[in-house]
Amino acid sequence: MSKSFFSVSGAVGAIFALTAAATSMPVFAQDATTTLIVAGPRTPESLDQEYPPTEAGHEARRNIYERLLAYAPKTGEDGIVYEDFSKIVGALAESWVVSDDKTSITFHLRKDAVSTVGNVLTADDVMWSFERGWHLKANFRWYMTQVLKIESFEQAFAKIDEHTVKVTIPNPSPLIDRIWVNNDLGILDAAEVKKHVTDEDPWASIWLANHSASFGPYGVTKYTPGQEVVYEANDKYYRGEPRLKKVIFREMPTSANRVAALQAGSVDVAEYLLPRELSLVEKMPSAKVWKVFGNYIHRVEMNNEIEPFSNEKVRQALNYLVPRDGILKAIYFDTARMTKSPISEIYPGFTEEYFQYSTDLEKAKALLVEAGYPQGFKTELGYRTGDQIEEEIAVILKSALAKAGIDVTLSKLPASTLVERYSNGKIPMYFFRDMAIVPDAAYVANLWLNSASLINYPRFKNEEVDKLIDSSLTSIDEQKRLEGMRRVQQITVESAPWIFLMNPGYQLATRSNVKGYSWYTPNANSWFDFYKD
Amino acid sequence: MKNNGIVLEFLRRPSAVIGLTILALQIIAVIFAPMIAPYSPIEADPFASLEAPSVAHWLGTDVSGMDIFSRIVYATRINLLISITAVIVAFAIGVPLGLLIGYYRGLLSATVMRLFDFIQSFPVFVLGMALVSVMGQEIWNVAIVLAVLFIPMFARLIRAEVLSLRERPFISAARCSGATDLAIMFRHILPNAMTPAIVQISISIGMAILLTAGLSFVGAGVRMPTPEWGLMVSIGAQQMILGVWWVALFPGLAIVLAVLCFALLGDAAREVADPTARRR
Repeated sequence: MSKSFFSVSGAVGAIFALTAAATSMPVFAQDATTTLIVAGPRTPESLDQEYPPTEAGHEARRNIYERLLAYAPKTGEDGIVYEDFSKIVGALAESWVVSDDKTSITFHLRKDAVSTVGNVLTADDVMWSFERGWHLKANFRWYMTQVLKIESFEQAFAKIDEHTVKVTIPNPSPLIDRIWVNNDLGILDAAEVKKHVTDEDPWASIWLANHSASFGPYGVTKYTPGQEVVYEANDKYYRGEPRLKKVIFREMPTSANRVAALQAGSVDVAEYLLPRELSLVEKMPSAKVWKVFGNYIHRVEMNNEIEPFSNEKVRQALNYLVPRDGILKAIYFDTARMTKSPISEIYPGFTEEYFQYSTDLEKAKALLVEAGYPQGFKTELGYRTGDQIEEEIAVILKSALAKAGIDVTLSKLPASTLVERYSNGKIPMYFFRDMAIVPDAAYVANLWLNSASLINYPRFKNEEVDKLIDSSLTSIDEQKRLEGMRRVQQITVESAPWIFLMNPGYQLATRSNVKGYSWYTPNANSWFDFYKD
Repeated sequence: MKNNGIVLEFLRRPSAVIGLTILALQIIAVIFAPMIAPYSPIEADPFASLEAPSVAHWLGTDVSGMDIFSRIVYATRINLLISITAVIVAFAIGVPLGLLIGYYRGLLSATVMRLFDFIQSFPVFVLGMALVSVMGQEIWNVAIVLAVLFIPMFARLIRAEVLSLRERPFISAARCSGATDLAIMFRHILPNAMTPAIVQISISIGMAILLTAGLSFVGAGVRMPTPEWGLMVSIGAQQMILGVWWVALFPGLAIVLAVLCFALLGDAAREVADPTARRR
């Protein structure tokens, strides 16, 4: 009997292993109120702000870099500190002057900003940061050329004196001041970074990928990709010494493990939990869930250039087939909200007035008949491996679309493969999740709807939309810009380049003694604002 | 008459009876799935998400609101189809191959054996995941991958038997009487070498069920929302933290039963086929 017993006990053992997936890793708590231990899905891919933006990367940037300008903080009714998009305040720039025609901005720098290694901020730091960003042709360069339309470094950036820097742009831009709040536009401690410049690496990219040198509240003292990041406070930070002296970020890829660690008290903060896990954490007396609606969008994009999605009526029909209420309840546990516009609902200029898609099978079928697909069609929907939310929504969508004869094959693909396929237009439908971090409707529309945008993956093209975006990016008549953006939202909602789904919001689970939660547009936690009781 | 004796001998064993009973249930599920299952196995209803076992949903529903009982019933088709196909293919290729490399010992035989070593030196699971990710998540691909993994097993069993049989006097006699190699292999050696391979069939089907489920569990098996036991356990495991046990438990039990069934049948077959085990 020995052989068969082996296979039977093997089977039972395997089932145990399969079902008992939620086990916790040992993480040791430190009881000091000045140390915060954070568990997140992954460590930043790089500490360099020129690396492509990711959620983990944004969080590192938020804490180690300091920018020239910021939005004034305002406390919401929920006790959470938000950014007041209507009021810009100085950060590393103590004051600033925008020319009347909005073609130049002059920054007067603080004289008391000190970096993590003790260097005092000067105009040279700012100029070198600009120069580096310009030459590396990544994030900084993109904002300067695509948003501010700068063509030449020499004509645009000038050091006026030791504490003054001026940026001049070719055409007026309504974003000339608010762009400098952007999370990717931090100022480096040039004196420190230059020590690590080599002939092969004139901008110290190798060193900056895993070190920090800026005027922000924290410096990274240990960075082990895939394991942990240790942030230590900059005690000379110009806004005051951070209350948390040390922040330890631990990578725990499985969200159930982060829940278990939070429950056990071995971490203080657990990032990116699933809605059902949050509902569980909310019931724990020792923990708290902070919830904001934020600026995430999660939708299913269709390739507008290939049949049958080149037909607007087909795209509208799909929007009429989605059981959004059901998805909200079953998948999001009511932590999300429907997106009813391409623009984030918390940004100025947002309107949901034009959104007309309810769950209406008859209407969807009628649209498919008009479009010439009375029997439906076959197509494919791609989602990311390991993304449970996407898989669950995909299953519901498949069922919902089947009611109108649309046969959807679900393809689970590694994130990199999925991105490659949709950026090359090689997949008809795919999940897309993103956030636009500049709170400006024209900026958001430019990212996703401008036919010339590199991340307009659905290849949506509408001449009127293109024109309105272009004029809104250069017009400084705020009223006209808002009107233009209303029209853009109307056209986009009507022509449905994608299946409108959800704004999943941003939620953070903490131990109940962790206070001071604040929310910034990159959905990155700013540890400077946090403290422990 | 001799065959009848073996069948009776087989049926006298409790393990065979239990195994056959479970097998019969599975066959009923395979054939009559549309009549047995109260719901479509792939129809999601978000408004019936994560419902506990009840009169409406005997084994509850999963997160998308699909009926777990209906999915388990339909999954029998997929799981048995994949496993049995894989084993039949592996048997059909592995047995003649084992016969050849056992009979003709030489460079070819050595090369094939090293190839088997290569396949078997990888952990089965890792190799399975790699092959499926290259070939794509289709039901037939999973079956092919399993067949590739099982071929060496059958071939080695047969080869070991052939190695001892080919030196026996009756083979020399056949050779002296002018029989061709082909005739010796298939008429004289094969019938005498088959027993362990036949016993292995049943055990392999059990293994195949477990491997299919495991591949789906780690995301390298069939596509969502195909009703498949391992995939069901996988999506259910994510709900365990909420105290929702039914989504993972029932398909898990289905896997245990199926594997148990083939293990018991294999065990009974081995006892019947092996005279030393039969003499008890």
